[in-house]
Amino acid sequence: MREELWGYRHLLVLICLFLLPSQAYSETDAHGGSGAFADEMMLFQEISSVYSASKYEQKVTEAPSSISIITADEIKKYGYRDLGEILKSIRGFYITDDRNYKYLGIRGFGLPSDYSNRILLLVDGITTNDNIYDAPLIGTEFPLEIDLIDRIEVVRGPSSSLYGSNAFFGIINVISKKGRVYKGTEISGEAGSFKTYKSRLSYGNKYQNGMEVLLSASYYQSRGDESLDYSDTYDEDPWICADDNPDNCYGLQEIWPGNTVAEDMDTDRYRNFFAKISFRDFTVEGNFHKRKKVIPTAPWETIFNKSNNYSIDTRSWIDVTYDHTYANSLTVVARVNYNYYKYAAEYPYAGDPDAGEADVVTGRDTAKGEWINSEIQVSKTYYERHRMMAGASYHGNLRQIQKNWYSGADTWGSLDDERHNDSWGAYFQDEFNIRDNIKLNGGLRYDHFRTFGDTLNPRIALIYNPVERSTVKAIYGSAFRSPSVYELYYNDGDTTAKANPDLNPERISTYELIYEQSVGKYLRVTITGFYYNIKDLIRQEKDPDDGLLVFKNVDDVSAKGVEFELEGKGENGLEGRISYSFQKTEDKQTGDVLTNSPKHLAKANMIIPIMEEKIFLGIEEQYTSKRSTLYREKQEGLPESLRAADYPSDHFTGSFFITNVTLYTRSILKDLEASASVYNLFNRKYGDPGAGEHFQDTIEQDGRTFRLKLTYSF
Amino acid sequence: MLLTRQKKRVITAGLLLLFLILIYGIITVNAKAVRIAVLFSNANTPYQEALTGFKQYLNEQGVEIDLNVHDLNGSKVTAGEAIKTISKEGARIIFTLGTFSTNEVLDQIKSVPIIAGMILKTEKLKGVQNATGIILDFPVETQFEMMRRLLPNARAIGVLYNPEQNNEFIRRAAETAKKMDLNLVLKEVHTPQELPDALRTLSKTADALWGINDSVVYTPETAKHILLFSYRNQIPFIGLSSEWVKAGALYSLDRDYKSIGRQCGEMAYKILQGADAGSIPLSGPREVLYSLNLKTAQQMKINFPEAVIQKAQTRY
Repeated sequence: MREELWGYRHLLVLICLFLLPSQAYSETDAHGGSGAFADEMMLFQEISSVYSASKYEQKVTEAPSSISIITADEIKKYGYRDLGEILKSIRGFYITDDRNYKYLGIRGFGLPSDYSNRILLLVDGITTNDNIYDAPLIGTEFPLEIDLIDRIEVVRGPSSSLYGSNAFFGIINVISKKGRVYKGTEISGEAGSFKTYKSRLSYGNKYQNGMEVLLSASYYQSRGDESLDYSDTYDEDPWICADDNPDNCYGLQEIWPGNTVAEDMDTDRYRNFFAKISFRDFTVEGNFHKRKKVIPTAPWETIFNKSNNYSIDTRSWIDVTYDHTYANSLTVVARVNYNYYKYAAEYPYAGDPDAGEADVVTGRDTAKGEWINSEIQVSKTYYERHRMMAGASYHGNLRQIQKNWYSGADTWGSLDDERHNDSWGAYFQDEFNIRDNIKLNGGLRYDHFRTFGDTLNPRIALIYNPVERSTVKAIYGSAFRSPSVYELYYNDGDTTAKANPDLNPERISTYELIYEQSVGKYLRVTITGFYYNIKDLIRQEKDPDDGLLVFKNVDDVSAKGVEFELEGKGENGLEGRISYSFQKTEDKQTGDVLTNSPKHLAKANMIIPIMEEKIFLGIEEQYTSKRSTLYREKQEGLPESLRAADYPSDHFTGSFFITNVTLYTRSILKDLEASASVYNLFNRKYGDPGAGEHFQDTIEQDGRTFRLKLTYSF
Repeated sequence: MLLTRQKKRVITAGLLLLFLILIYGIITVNAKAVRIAVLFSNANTPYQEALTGFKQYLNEQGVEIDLNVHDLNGSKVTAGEAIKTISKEGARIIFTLGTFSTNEVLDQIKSVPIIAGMILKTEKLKGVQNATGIILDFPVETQFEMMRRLLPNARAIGVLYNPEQNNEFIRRAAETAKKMDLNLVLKEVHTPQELPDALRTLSKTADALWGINDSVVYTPETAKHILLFSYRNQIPFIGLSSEWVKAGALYSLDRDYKSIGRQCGEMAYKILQGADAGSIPLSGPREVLYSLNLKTAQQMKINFPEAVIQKAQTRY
């Protein structure tokens, strides 16, 4: 009886809190006086400084999701070199680098051989995921020059109700700078470890007639680690069986002829051109990015230490956007963009001269995609309480070409596949201010894909401010990922892989509870709890009937976790954030924790002003707990006689701390910025899990590296 | 020595006369002290500074003043009680500080001269015979001159305003702007919820954003949005006061509140000399000061001449 009364008392308190008039958004002042009284108070009243608030805008606290924002200022002061390094600093995110591409893991999900295609990556609202692999590129292959980034908004949680496919775990919106920021020309040069150099020339301005222009060109090259020693892997001598045939198994030592050091095999270079012109309501943006990476790990059983083992990614787009708010507060945004993506790779294989093959058979893999995206979105506020948005989009795949052939071996399979298809979607969202301190955000999107049909995805969020400066968000959303054309149709003439046109889309349902609290003038605390459930996860596995690799809807995965973050920014330039996330991601069929899924992630970032407004020290500390590798799965593919003695144990990458430090200066000399960075300050040895195509169980990452950077404006 | 009776009478009469002169002197002196009722809208520091200037000026003119000070604290109840007290005890002049106290007094007192100090809006004073005052707002010409001086390249000046409050003001400002080779890019805001869309529109067209006295557009809740917009879009915001500049606005015109108080003292002195309050024209601050945010200027790559920086009253 007493417990019941206690429960009712709590319920009563909750009801009273619910019914309390809001203090957060009242338009009357503290004295309950009239507007007239408030007039001259606006002259005298203390106003929150923008310099301590520049990240905590309305968008973050009122958005129906958990959002992180990284600004251009932070990118400079922490010395980030690519988008992957930026994302790695964000709560709950981690990066896997196989020395060819970087891949993003979120909330414990980052399967090897996965192309991170469960995250939608936008640049200025333009989808950068290609139409072959649906992959967002986040390393040096990321198509926008890092120095052109104004800020990055990371929206966690399923966002298919607005964005459609790939917005599975969330979206990352990279916003480029405006031309007016430059007010002239800027030239930048970098030099770093491994003979890394980068140069950039940018020009931007806003003219009297209102036209705004930003032009930029940059070039990057790096020799990479000129001597990568894989003797550990060689000594382990892992086995593989070709065609799943137990009579055709061989160890690594058979195909690596005693040479275990990859020399000059880690080179990387790119060039980037960017142009953006805005005039009144129109913006035209064009981008071209081409990157070539030599691959030192000899994936896909290629010949080790052979220099024609590389991949080239080319990504470009041209976009025209119209954005206008009419007199009746109706906002219309319409855009159309043409996109191009090309992937080209060469892989050297050992041929069998006895079978009439060349000593070195060169495999060539290309993929080419051209597509058009168009979208129109209208939004308006009705009756002061409903902010409604509706939109429609069309995605037309003009070309989706996948080709694969081998020079020097006529009997090896080939692929020549070309597709055209399209999809369209329509969506609606209403942000309803139930009361001044309660907001309900609901959205629904319908998509039709020519490949698999229809899908409907809702999202609903309740945003409640129980007291001023506190926000509680309860969110449910579902999202989907349509299979990529690579997953559906890639086959190499049934040599190692085959197509599966019957794939279904993956689906995710996510529940989130978020609590955000401003503390004092400068601090903010965020606590998040989440649970997600993925159905029909698409994974590549070997078909036991024919030993060929094929993508299938095989798994159901669930994950739960909590995240905690404390961030603060003072007016004197001191700022920082510290976060911890715990996540447990498991295969619902087997109960196994997923491969490459760290249970614990912790990050600490701090910018310390050494000399006010002139010299800053940026320190970053990141902890990643151990992650299981594909070791056991690879062992399962071997005959029992060849399995390792410790089968079925899992192998793990070690846990590690990484420390990065940057000293950044500006205004010491007029118009000159300079920075000096040390990455992995304590030269920690650490690695990321290899994927199915790698012999390496763990791929070792770089030790301590340096970078100097100078930027001059005129 | 013994005093004769006559001598005693003379001495007594002399003392009595002295006593009467003394009493008369006291009464006369007290009769010269002018009773002035002072009503604060609330106890803000600028109001206090204005009162100091007011007292100082009158003291310099040799006027003895007897101040009867009331802090209304924004309460109509307190205002009612204060006005009752003033009516009962009487006052030669009523000096109000702030719009709230001015409005309360104008509604209820019609016969006593009123000097309204530190107000933003003049509508209620128009046609009122027993009132005059000092408006905190600078003339539009002064504001535009400063704009041309500090932002010489800015031509398209964005203005957010609520038409119900500022339609007429904006119309006149637009005419003045044209004459001064400036173009006002106007955006109506009827409720604070319309602000984000209004700012988005201005992001494409405005070279600078001009803050005006508008209680719909400029509130504690909207201040953050406006300053963030300015920061993110590199569009300098011309703030309403030094507090705004401290928070991130590029610059603002500033007032010397003590000097404003002295101006009010001048008006009071004229009234004491016999002038009608209604015949003294409303005026603005005599001294034009300004504050600069050098951090914002650096961030927006705006270079102020050294002389401009040195002359700023406050630099952040």
